[in-house]
Amino acid sequence: MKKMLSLAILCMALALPLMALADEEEVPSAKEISEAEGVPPVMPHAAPPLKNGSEEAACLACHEEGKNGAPQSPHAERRACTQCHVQGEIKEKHKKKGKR
Amino acid sequence: MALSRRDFLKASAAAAALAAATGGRLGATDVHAAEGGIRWGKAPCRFCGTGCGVLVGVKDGRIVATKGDPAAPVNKGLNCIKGYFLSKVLYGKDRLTKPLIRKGNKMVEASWDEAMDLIASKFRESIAKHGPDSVAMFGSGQWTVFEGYAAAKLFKAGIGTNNIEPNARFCMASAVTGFMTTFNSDEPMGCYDDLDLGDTYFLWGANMAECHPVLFSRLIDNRLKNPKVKIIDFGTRFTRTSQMADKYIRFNPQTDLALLNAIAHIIVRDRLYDENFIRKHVVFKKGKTNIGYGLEDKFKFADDPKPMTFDEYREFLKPYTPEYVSKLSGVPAKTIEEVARLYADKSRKVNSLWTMGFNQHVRGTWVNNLVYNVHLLTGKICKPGENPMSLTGQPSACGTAREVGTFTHRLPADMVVMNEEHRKKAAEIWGVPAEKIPAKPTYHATEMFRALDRGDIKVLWVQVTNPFQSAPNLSRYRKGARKGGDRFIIVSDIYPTRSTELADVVLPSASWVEKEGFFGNAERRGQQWFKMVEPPGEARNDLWQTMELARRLGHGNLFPYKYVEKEMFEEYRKFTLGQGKDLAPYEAYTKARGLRWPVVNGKETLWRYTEGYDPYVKAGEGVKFYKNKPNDYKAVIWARPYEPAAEAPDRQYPFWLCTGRVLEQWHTGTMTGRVPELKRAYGGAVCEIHPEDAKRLKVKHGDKVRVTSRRGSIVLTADLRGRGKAEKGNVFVAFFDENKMINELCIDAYCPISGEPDYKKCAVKLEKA
Ligand code: SF4
Repeated sequence: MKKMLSLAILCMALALPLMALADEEEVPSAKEISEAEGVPPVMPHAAPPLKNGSEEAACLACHEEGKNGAPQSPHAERRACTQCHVQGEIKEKHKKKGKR
Repeated sequence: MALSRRDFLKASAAAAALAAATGGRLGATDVHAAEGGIRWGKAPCRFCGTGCGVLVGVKDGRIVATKGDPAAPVNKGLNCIKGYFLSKVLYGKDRLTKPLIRKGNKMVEASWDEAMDLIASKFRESIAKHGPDSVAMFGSGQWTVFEGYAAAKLFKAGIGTNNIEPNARFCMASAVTGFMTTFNSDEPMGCYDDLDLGDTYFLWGANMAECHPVLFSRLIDNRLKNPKVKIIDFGTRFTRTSQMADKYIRFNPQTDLALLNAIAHIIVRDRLYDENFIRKHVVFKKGKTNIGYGLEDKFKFADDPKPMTFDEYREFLKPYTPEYVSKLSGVPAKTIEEVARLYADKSRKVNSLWTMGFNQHVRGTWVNNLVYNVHLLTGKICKPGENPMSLTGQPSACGTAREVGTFTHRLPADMVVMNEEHRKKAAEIWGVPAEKIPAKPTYHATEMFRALDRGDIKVLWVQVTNPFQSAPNLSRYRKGARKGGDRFIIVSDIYPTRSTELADVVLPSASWVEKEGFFGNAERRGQQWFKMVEPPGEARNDLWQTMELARRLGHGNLFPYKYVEKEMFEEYRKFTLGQGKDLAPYEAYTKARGLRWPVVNGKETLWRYTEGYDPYVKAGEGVKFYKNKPNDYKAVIWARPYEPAAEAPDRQYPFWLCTGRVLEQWHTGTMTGRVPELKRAYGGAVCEIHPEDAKRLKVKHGDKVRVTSRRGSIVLTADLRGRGKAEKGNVFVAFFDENKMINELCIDAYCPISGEPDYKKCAVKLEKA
C-alpha cells in the first residue's frame, strides 16, 4: 500500500511537466461536458398518426412552433424525432389524442 | 484506495503514467471534478456499429448519466435512445455478481477459484481425451479488442485449435468475404463523411432509421441542407426508413441478386460505364454456380474462380433484362431503368448502404460482390462522397472480430491460417513455434453448434453473446447443448440469459466502462476508453477470465504483460503496421475521439486506395487497390447469377418470414430489456402482417396468431399498423424477445462462401390462435 502510494507520487512528479499541457486538452473538456445533451424527454402521449405519410410532419405540426400547448422543439432541424423521443407513460390528459 | 487515488488524477497524462505503473487495473479514467461531483470520461457507445461517442458521468462509483459527445466526429453530440439510456443498462436488478456452478438442476454460487479450477480441468480432460479440437470458444463483435485478441491467441497459439468463432459470423461474415473476394482486404474504402458529402443514397435491406439511427440522421441532415439529395430505399418491408426516404422500392425477397445484375445490364447495354476506370482498375471473374445452402452437417464448399473478359461478362448479363427481372422481383422495368441511370449519372455522387438484408443471405457474398460491381463499373468508388458502404451491427464487429481475426480461419490484419507465411508471421509475434497454429480452419459458427449437438465439440465457452437465443434453427442447438455426455458449457455474461440457463458454469462479467476497452466501428475508427467504475460484486473482466484459464492450462507465458491492455495493444499493433491497416500507438487513442486506420505518421485515412488520402497510394496513381496483389492491384467484378432462396413459400407454408431489430431493443435484449423506459417503449416482439393477409385469416390488429415453420412454432400478437408494415405475403418479427424466440423458426441455411445464415428468409404459415 505504502509502496504503491509512493509509486503514485513518483509518477505524479514525473508527469508534472506535462500537466499544464494536458490540462488544456483534458478529455473531455469542461466546455464539451456543459454543451453535451443528456436523456431527451419521452413522449407523454401516443405517437400521432402520420401526416401525409410522414412522421416528422406529424410531430412538427405541433412541436415546430409549439402549437396546441405542445412544447416547442429546440432543434426542429433534427427530423428523425423518434430516434430520441420514445413513448413514455401516457398522461391522462393526453389519452384521447393520437392513437396507439 | 481507488477513490483517493482518483482524486490525484487530474490529467490524462498522469492517469496513463499511473496506470502503466500499476498494471492498468485501477481507475485510469479521464476524470476531473465537475458540478454536482460528477466526473466525466469518454467512451464509445456499447451498442451498435455506428460507434457514437458518449460522455459518461460517474458519481460515488456509479454511472449516473451519459450524454452524446459533442466532440465525437461520428455523432457530433447526438445519440439514439439506446445511447441516451446507457447509464441504466448495467444496473438491472438481476446483475450476475458471483460465479455459478451447476449442481443437477440448480446453479450454486461458487468462488472464482472453484469455477476456474473446474473449467480448467474440463479443458484439460477434453484435450487429453479427444484432442484440442474438442474445445471451443464462441465470442462476439462486442468483445473489446483485448478480449478478442487474448482469446484468439490462447486458442490458436496456446491450445492449438482454430475452434474460435464470433457471433459476427451470424451478422458480418458475408461482408468480409465480399470485401476479400472483390478487394482482397476487409473493410470499407469510404467513411461516414460520405453520408454528408454525397447526394444519392441507395439503401439495400437496411432499416437505418431504427438500426443505425445516428447515421440515418446524418443522411437526413444532408438532405435538409442539399435539395439534390435523394434517398432510395430498396426493401421487402416498409419501415421507418422507407417512410423517410424519397422513394421506396419494394422487391420480392432474394431478388436483390437479379436487380443488381439488371442495373449492371443497363449500365453495360447503354455504355454508361466509366471505361477508363474499368481498364485501369478492374478484372472480371466468375465462380461456381448452384453452390448449395449448407443445410447438411459438415457441408463443404470451395469456390473455383476463373478469369473472364469484359465481353464474356457482357454475355453473362444478357439475360438480366429489366423485363425479366421485373417479373422476378416485382419492381417495374421502368423503375429498374431509372435506378440504373441514377447510379450512372455522372453529375451524381452515389453511395450504396447495406446491412443484414445483404449479409444474412444464402448468397450473401454474391450480393456484396454485385453491389461493388455497380460501383466499379461506374467508377463511383474511392472518392469523397461516393462509395459503397457496408454498415455493421455490433460495436466492434470490425475492430475485434474482423481486424483481430477471431474467426476459425482468420489471423490478425487480414491474414488467414491456411497461409504458411501468415502463420509464420503470427507465430513470430506471438512467440510460439509456427507449427503450433493449425493450418486448417475447423467450424464456422453454425457448424460449431452442429458439432456440439453431434458431440464432436465437448467443451464450449461463450463470452459476450447469447447464441442460445440468436442461433438459427434454435431448437436443435438448444437441445444439443443439454444432451449430456462429456458436454460442458461455460457462459460469461452480465445478466441471466437464454444461454446462461443452459450453462454448466456461469461467470459474472464486467461490462463496458467497468473495464478498459477498445472498439472499432464500421468506418475503421478505433476508439479507446478507460475503466471508470468497478463491476458489481465479484464480476470480472472477460479478458481476465481468458488469461486466468490460460494460466491454469500452462499458457500463462502468452500473456506476460504488466499494463495488460496497453502492452497487448502494442503487440497487436505489430500485425497492422505496413499492411495498410496501421493502428496508432495506444497512447494516441486515449486522447482522440477515435482514429480511422490506416494511421500513418499520426494521420488517419478517410478514403482508402485513394491518392491524396491514403498514404499507401503514391502520387500519380490516382486509385490503387494495393491490397489486391494476386489480381495485379485491381478490384474484381464478379459474374454472380441469381439463385433462389433455400426455402421459399409454398402451399403449406405460404408466407416469407423476415427477422430483425427495432430501435429500442438491441440484439437479444439482455441489456436494453433492463431499461424500463426502453422496455415500455417496445416491450415484446409482435408479428407484422399485411392488413389484406390478416383479413383473409380473420385476424384483427392485436389478435393472437400462431406462426409456424418446419422447425418451430410460436404465438405472437398481430400488428397491422405498427411502425413497420409487412408487404403482402410477408411477415416480420423482431428477434430481441427472450420470451418469443423467433429464431426457433429460422432455417440454418447459410452462404456457402461466408458461412453466414439467412435470417431474413424462410417459409411460415399463420393461423389465428
Ligand atoms: S446509433 Fe448506435 S452507437 Fe449511436 S447511440 Fe444509438 S446504439 Fe449507440
